[in-house]
Formats: sequence, structure tokens, C-alpha cells
Amino acid sequence: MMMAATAFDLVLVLALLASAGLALFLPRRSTAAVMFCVFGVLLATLWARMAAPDVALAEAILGAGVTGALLIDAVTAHPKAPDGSPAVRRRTHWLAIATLAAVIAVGIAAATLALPDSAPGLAEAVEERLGSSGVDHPVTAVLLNFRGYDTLLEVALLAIAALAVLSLAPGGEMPVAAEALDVPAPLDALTRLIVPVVVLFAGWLLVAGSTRPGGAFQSGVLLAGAMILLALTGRPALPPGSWLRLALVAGVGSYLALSGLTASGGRGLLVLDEEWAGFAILALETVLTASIAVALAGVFVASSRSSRLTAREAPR
Amino acid sequence: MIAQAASAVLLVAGCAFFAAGTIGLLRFPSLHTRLHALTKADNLGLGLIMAGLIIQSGSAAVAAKLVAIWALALLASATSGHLLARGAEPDDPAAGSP
Repeated sequence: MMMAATAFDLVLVLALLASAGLALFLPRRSTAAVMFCVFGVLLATLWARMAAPDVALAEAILGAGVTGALLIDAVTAHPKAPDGSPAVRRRTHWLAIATLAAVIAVGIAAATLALPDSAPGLAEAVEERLGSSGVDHPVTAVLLNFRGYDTLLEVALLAIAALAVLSLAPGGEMPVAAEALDVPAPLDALTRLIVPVVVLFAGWLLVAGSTRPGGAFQSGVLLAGAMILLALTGRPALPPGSWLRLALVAGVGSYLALSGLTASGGRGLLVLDEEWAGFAILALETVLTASIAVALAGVFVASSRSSRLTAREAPR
Repeated sequence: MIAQAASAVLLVAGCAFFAAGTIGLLRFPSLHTRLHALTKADNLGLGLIMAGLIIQSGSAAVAAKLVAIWALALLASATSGHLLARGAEPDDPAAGSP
């Protein structure tokens, strides 16, 4: 049994390295983009194998979903390089980059092997205080309660990045759906079947975050995937006009409001009292889900539209 | 005992179908034949593996989730197979290579 598990781990790591190398060095861009999605799925399997289901969920939805969609959309919008030749990656400087990457990898491996064998970690400290945190799942407690300040900064970062990408939308106006000419019938039928299922699943993930792997981030990214599907079939995917800006800043805004409330009226910055911690976490996570979904879907729609417009204007 | 044996048989059969699909991916001459091997053999392999896991699951909730995974994977692979076949031009050099 142990032999089979070790063999499986070895095959998984080799497959990871192989897919990463293929994603980097394949000459055809579309194949490389698909290899990136494969790498995302294998990485999610690795996280699951290391007993980290929250990270595996986030990696599967984000790496193979939203980021993969962004890459494949960019690659298919520019199938030919500007001078008319097929879009092949240039190989200049790759030897220097490979050497630098090898040096960094060896350094990280040496540092990891030099760590003490039985480091205590913080799992016991989290377990002790889990009862007063308002949720039952240690990862959610750490993310939203004990280290809430880090999550505030992360959410602000996402909002700023989304605002930056959206402000580059061509024409100064943000479309609510990507350009979708001639949508094939199976894709249309799939969207109509799957989007309600995904919305239900995202809602469940949001609520399940209190007791098991899940939470705002995974739920928001899943919703973003559904909105990308809607955008690809020409349906309105984003809230229009000023509702879009409101949704983008709602996550950061509510987090800032919570920190202001706790700093001025409560016991300290983002110190959640036991009585209302659970309610505060769930309410905050709901707003964060909507904000993250709109941010990621908005990034996809904006970059898809701009890359297709420049592809059409490029000289043929 | 019978359940364990049946589950093992189903899992092995599912892996055999996946292997057949992969051999088809590697050996078939063109994009459309490769897509045919992938969508048909891999879907059947996934269904057999899910059936084997359902026998081992021991709870109705887990079994229902496995069926849902199978249905979603069927939908997704059917749609993406259609889109890939549709998008490949007839004289695309990547679509056919002996």
C-alpha cells in the first residue's frame, strides 16, 4: 500500500515537471496554453494529496479555470504573429533564464532540507482558539478572523488590479459581455444547463466555508467562471455601469468598514468578539464573493474585448 | 466481499478504457479521429470508475456527488469535443499528421 502511494506521488511529481516544461517550451502557443491548464489540474491533485483541500479547490478553479480561460482567449485572439508567421515563441535568452531558475530551485531545495524535522507549527494554537472564532473550519478561522488583516490587503490588491485592467478597456466603456459572434449550439445549451448548477454550487461553497473547505474565495472564483461562460455566449455577464464599480469596491469597502468599526468601537483592529464573529464572517464573505466574481469576470471581458479589437485592427 | 470484487473489476475496466483512449490519442492520424477516441473511450472509462467508486462510497450523499461529477464531466467533454472539431480547419497542419 505504501509502495503504491509512493509510486503515485513520484508519477505525479514527474508529470507536473513535464507539463510545466511543455507549457514553457512548446513552440505552438495554443498547445502551451492548454498544457498550462493541465498543469493546473495536476497541481490541484498534488495539493489534495498533501491534505490541503482548500488550496486544491482554489487551484483547480483558478488555475485551470479563470487563468486558463484568460490565456486561451489571448492565444486564440492572436493566432498569427504581427509579421504573418505562425505565433512561435522566440528562444533567445532562454538559456540564461533556465540557469537562473535552476540556481533559485537549488537554493530553495537546500533551504527546505535544512529545516528541522519536527517543527511545531501553529496547528495546536489554532485548535485551541477555534471555539471562539465563530467558525468550525481552521482555515477559514485563520483567513477571516486571526489573520483578517492579510485578507483585507489581499482583497484590496484584487480590487486595484481589476480596476486597472477595466480602465484599459478600449473606447473608454466597459462592455457587459465579450464579443460573441456565431455561438455554437452545444455551447449555448451547455451554458443554459450549467450556469444554474454553478450558481447553486457557489452558494453552497460560500456557506460551507464555516465547517469544511470552501469559503469566499473559492465561491467567488466559481461564480466568475459562470460569468465568463455567460460572456462567451453573448449574454450579459457583468452588472452595467456604476453597479459594476460599486460591486468591485464593495468587498474592500465593507472590509474597511468592519475594521473601522472594530478599531473605534470594539476591542481593536479587526478583533471579532465571539458573539457576533460568525455572523460578521458570513456577511463579509458574501460581499467578498460578489466582489471577487465581478472582478475576475470583468478582467476576462475587458482583456478579451481589447485583444480581439487589436487583432482585428492589426495589418493582415 | 462481492461488492469489493465488483468495485475492483469496474475500476480496472475504467482504467483500461482510459488507456485505450490515450493510445488512440497518441496513435490516430488526425484531430477528428483523436477526438472520437477521447470523447467516447474516456467518458465510458470515467463512468465505470464512478460506478466502482459509488459501490465503495457507503453513503448516498457521496454517491449522488459522484453521479453529479460524472454528468458534469460528460457535458463538458461533449461540448469541448464539438468545439474543437468545429474550430479545426480542414487544411490545418496540426489537425492531421500521420
